[in-house]
Amino acid sequence: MTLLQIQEPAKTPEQPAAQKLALGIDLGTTNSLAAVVGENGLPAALGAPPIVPSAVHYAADGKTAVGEPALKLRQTDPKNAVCSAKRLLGRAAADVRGDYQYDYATGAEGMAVIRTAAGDKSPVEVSAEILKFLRRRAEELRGMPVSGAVITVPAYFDEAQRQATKDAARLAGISVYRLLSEPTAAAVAYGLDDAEEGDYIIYDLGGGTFDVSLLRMRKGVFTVLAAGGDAALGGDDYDRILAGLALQKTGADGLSDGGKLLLAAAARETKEALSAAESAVLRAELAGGEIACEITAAEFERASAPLTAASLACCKSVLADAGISAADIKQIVLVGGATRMPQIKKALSGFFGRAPFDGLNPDEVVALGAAAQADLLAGNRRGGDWLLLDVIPLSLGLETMGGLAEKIIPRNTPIPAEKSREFTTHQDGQTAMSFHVVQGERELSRDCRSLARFNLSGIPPMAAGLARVRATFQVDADGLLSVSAAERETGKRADISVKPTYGLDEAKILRMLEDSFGAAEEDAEKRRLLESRQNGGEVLRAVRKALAEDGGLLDDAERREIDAAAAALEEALRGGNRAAIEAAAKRLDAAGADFAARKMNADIKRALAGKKADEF
Amino acid sequence: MPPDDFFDCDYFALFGVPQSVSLNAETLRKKYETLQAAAHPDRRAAGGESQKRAAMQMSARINDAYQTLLNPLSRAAYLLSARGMDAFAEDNAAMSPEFLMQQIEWREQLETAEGTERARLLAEIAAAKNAAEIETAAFLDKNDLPAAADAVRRWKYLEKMSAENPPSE
Repeated sequence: MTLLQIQEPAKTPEQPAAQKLALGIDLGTTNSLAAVVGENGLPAALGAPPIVPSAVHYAADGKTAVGEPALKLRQTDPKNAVCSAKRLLGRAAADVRGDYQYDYATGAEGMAVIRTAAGDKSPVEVSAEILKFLRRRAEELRGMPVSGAVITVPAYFDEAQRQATKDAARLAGISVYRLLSEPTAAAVAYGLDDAEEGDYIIYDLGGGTFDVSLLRMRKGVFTVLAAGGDAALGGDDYDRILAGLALQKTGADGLSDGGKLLLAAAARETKEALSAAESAVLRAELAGGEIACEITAAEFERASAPLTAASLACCKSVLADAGISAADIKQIVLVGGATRMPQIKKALSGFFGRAPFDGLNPDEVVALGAAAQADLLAGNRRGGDWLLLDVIPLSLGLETMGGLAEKIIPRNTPIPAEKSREFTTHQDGQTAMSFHVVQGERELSRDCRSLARFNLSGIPPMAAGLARVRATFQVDADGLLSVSAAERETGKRADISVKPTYGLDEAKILRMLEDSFGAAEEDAEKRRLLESRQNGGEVLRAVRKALAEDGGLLDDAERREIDAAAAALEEALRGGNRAAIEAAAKRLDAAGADFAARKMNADIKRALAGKKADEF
Repeated sequence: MPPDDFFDCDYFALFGVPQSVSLNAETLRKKYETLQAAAHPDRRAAGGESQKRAAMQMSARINDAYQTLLNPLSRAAYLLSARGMDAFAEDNAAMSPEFLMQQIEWREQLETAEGTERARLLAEIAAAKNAAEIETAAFLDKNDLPAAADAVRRWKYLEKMSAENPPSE
């Protein structure tokens, strides 16, 4: 005790918090990479080469290979080398439309899983392998543990896909600072390059997804005005068009699965060649002999025109949503390797009346922006300070009478968001109400994506129309939804974080975490202790900082309670007992809950008066 | 005087602006960005759960307040509700027969009108909408809440009609 009394805890000079290793991770359909902000305040991609193919090979002996080695193994063992798992994230087995690549099975809650030699693997587990690979590589390169990461997702990812991405990160032992939309991340990277103020279109055509965002950039503030896209449109679809052209020209048919893969690879090469040449020869060594045919850029452009047009339609609807005309756009920024195709640039020039900007490396820009944001969120703030205001890309609602989808939070609503709607009973004496949460723009709920169903029971029997049930939708800054319903008279509540329908519950994540580490070189318990330490340290730092700024909001008793909880956490952090650290962190957080709200009020008051709390 | 509790105050107080139907969009935007700079969850991404929760709630509130205050119609309706009058409550939906007749007439004419005739009709509707907006403000000034609620309802009707009938097809 004496040791602690030497200095008032609040007056302890804040140790210059060691810079944290905060990653920006672009988890792509085809390729993934991680970036980090360096001492110079600028983000840089990690690794040589930084780009890791999003491929994981599962061997019968349980060994996994990630990246290039997995791609190599794919040539001889295609069914066990999983590529483009991102396309399957958050997807039901029934959604896997005519996919010939893998053997699928139906997992828990009807989710798609892939049959491999090492057992059934969910897309979440496959993605976790890639994330784990990136995390370990970063830790080896930097010689310190990763404190957390900003992971990018397509702006058009729905609730299920976002939750699946977050689960994958948890499974990879990464704490997620934020899920960030890919075009928004690209805009951050671009904006840091001192872009002029104005409205920008970020056109992001990746391997498997297409996103378009309309952003307003002002000094220090990035505001997403509208976002749209197509979660099933990407460079891969252009490859398929080329493969189709080749089959048409050569008359080859009846391809084996291996043959289809070889043809797809050849198509990809031809696509890349056509970015720089007027024509190219597509050549593939198939079981029935070699096929070869010449395809011109003009042919490719014509055949793929419907895809390009679909992307332009998304641009149009984003402009309409924001009420901005194409002529008012300051610049069109290209993101994603597939934007190297000349027909994309040509179509955009035609639509917007000016050439798009392609000065950034389209493969890296998303990860770079995510790294800058991660550095800011981790509190390193080496690269300056800015504010990102994003929106939810798809409407969230409830099914009402007659199967209609009633929108509670419409698309392009800024997040975080909270909205309520009141419903009533439609039968005399009705004591329960069921809710069906849906996402999408269609009028009928059966045409929207079903997110969750839950019941509120225990409503006191009343005449029809008298009960008042308030449903509240809350979307956090990651774009993740939770829904609650409460009856006004009785206060009877039902809460649901939408997750359980298709996501992994915490217990399952922990179990999988144990399993995945069990066979591996790392010790799961060690990893979890490290995570608890990091989290506990952050809670302590944050509370101490708040006390230093606004300790005056507390009376003596409250202050003593918080100080005691802080001292206990500090003590626990010195030891190596994970449970003790977690309990102490929880206690401090609970002790400071009321203080957190009061401090928020003080911060708002200062903001309105034009003063800043010591740099936030 | 700023309120003590920004989690539980009206949106005008949250933004530190007067309870008025006429607010400047640029002023609101600046306030919005200042408030989010203080409250957004990104400012507390490295804190404890309770700090993150407070940030999420306040930031969501600021977002809703901004959208409500930025749009003149929702701002006027909100101002009415802040004074205890819900303009769109189910038991408060009465419209004058003259107004409803006029609506039906306009809708019928719009179905067939083309060119300059259509433009003339749309201008008429726009003028009526502006008039409803001005009346709303005037009744609110006089604190005649039932009359203001009636004007807001007409305004909303006409706004919807304008939105459903864009100038050029």
